[in-house]
Amino acid sequence: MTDKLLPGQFIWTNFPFAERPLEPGPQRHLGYVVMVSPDQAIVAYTTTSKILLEGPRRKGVTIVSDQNAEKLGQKRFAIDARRLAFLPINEQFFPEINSPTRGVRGNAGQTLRAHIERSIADLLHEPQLMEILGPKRPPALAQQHRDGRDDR
Amino acid sequence: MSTSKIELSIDSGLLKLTQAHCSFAGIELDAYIAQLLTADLQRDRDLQVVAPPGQSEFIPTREPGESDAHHAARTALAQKLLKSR
Repeated sequence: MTDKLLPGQFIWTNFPFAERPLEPGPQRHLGYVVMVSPDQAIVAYTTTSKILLEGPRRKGVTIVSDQNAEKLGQKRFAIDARRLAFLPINEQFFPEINSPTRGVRGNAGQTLRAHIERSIADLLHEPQLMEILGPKRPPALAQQHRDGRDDR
Repeated sequence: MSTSKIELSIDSGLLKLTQAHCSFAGIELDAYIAQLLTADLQRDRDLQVVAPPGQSEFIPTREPGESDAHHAARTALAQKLLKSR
């Protein structure tokens, strides 16, 4: 499966909702692949939220310009590195992973990739800003969810 | 920052960089370490990143052309995420 995903790709995902952090989200959502391991991927959330696009700049949020968004067939959007998901590489979370395109809409350049990685590294200084989702997320978070103590 | 702050162990020709080593050195695993490692450790060594015993791992798949140092930095970033809350 690993060869089906590469870091820097924008890809269709069923990104989990915070309310059900371990389950696939109910609709396709463009995600940004931060890293890939043999059986899972770390994916960042993307959003067209006006609050993020037009409001004051927020740590961990990177705006993708109109021009670059257009290349992906999207309107202007933001990559929100504050919201990450550890996802298994399967059809549940990547609905088009077994299609010829794998659901890949485009690729980030090296500059953007480095910027996102640096954003995540910076955010680790303020982990309270981060929301980590997905069934492959850190065991402590998954345990909290099972115990009904997940406050995200 | 200088490389003298990094604690490394060399075992049978393998250079092992661990979370413990990094925290011992007091270095934050941010972009600086990637730059630093890339600059100073970019050699033909087989660099392995290992997680502390019992900790979940996320070892990023190595990309074509990716240096040992960059791969180590990405792995360290992933491990740090696994420990974050």
